[in-house]
Amino acid sequence: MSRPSAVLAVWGGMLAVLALVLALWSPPQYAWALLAGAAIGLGPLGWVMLVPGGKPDEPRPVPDTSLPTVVLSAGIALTALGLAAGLWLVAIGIEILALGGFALVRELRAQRRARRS
Amino acid sequence: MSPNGVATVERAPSGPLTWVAGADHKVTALRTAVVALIFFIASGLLALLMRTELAQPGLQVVSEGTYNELFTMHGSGMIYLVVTPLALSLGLYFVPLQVGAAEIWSPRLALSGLWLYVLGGALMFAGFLTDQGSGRAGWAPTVPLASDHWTPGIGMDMWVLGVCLAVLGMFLQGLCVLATALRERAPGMTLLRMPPFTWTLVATALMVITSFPVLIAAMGLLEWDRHVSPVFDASGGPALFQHLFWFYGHPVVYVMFFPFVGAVAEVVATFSRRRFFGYSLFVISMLLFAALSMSVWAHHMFTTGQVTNQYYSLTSHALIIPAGIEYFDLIATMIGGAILFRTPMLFAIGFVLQFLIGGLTGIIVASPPIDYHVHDSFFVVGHFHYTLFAGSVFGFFAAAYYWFPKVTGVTLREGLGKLHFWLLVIGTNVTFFPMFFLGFDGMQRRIANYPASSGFGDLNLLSTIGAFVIALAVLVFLINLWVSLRHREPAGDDPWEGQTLEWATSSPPPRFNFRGRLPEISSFAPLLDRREREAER
Repeated sequence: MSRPSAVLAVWGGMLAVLALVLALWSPPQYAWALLAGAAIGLGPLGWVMLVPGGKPDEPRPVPDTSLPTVVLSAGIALTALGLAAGLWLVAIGIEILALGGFALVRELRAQRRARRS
Repeated sequence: MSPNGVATVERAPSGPLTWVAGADHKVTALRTAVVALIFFIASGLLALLMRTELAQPGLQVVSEGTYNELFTMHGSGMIYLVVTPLALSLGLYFVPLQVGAAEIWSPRLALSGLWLYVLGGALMFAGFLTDQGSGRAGWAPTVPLASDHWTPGIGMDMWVLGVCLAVLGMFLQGLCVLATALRERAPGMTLLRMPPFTWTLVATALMVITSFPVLIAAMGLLEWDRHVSPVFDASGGPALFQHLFWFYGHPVVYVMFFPFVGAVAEVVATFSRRRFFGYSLFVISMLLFAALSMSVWAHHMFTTGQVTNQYYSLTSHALIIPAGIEYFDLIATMIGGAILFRTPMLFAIGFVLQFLIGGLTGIIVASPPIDYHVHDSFFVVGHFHYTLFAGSVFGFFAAAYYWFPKVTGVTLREGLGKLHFWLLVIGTNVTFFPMFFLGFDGMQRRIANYPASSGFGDLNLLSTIGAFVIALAVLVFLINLWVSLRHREPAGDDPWEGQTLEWATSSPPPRFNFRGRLPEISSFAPLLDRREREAER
């Protein structure tokens, strides 16, 4: 096992086998679909983790602080709370979310410029 | 530019901004652990209230409604806000160090995970401030009990949404840990040279990324069911919700266990002065263990009559094989070693012995005929507290005493550590062992009172005394933290003669983890290799 994708492939394969064995018992369809779905869902997650970004040996800029990330997280939390507390809070949450998103894009662009230089 | 290929965008940060928005993986991990310890104390105080209520029949220290809130918030606090974050925070801090990385993969995602967790936890606990109280349908809610009809109030909504946020936060941190182990390794650190602890985090994170999204979906659907339109009220709806919940709810037990197995493996090898035994088999068994643990979720539903008991009983029993391999490896590492009984090693041995009781009683509840007898009784409460408290929390303390010098540069006091250990051993066993007898004799869980004629009073009183001894042990730990940080005794970079890369850097490590060249990596224990090479010369 030398490639990172092999770990995900082994894991997905084991889940698929367990889903197949479960299917032998004719359970409710959603029961084995949960296991099979978990195996299939590894595809996009694996892509997110292993494909984008520079090569492992390439220098890459990382932030020391990221306030926009915190603002974005607060926006998500407020929006979620708004689902229970009322639309007014959803509206505030979305505004903070947008603010955080905008600042994060600026931060990422600055990071990209730093990488080029 | 750091020695292993990471450049920073901004000047090195300092001041309050670092506390709020510092993206260094070590800062994020440390804050996650500190917040988890605060939730540990809060959830532990709720447990003390519950044990006080149950000390004698008819006490009624709190009302029955309040008792429902207490057991819900104690359980959900410990599961969602304490043990899972503690486990992942260890990975967040030490996986990059152990694989020789300068930073974690996507520090922003890890930081976002921290804040979603903090805000989610605050939301869950803020439910206590609402008119109808906090969530009160159990840490593992069932439908229709958790519906708006049976559990009305915004406090319950805040609980559902808080769980969503906290679990999303942990999902993001798990993703970062996994991606770091898979793609941020230093040159020479192949997959099969990653230390046992890192492999346990890989297995943990694989479970996190496959099971946590299902809980987020289940809680989203529950909230939809409560306020928009019924989702789970059709025939089979309650069983569907339980499937969705337990598809997260069982793997999370192992998410709260594997990282501590890994930490204990490191401690046992270091304090036995031996190389970890059976590394390859250990790696295979971790992956097998994790996969099997994804397929046992419906053993929590044996008594519903709506699941294929044979399959889930079979897979649950199959867990004995990888668990046995891990125990064998841990014990074989100790055999023939020059064992040093320092505090981390005591906690590691406590973990190994006490988790065994949790594991063996797990075999009992994995058998449907016996599970029908003990389901929803105090037997089950005893079982999972032996796995999560007597096991995982002891594993956490082993890790805390072991890695505290690396994180802070100072060692915790040995005398206070040993006092902490023995008090915790006594408290744990006095609290949880009587629960097996209570449950087998028919005492139901989640009740605020029981008849005096039941004969449960004496064992409950014993259990309550034990809970206060646990509280005393935790107090000793907090005093130890205070004393050790206040009157600092420098630990040096490698006080234990560790075997893995984190001990090759300064204590605490610099911003990008390593200064200068890394030691040669030719196995999962590069520092032990180096010492052996030097001894041969």
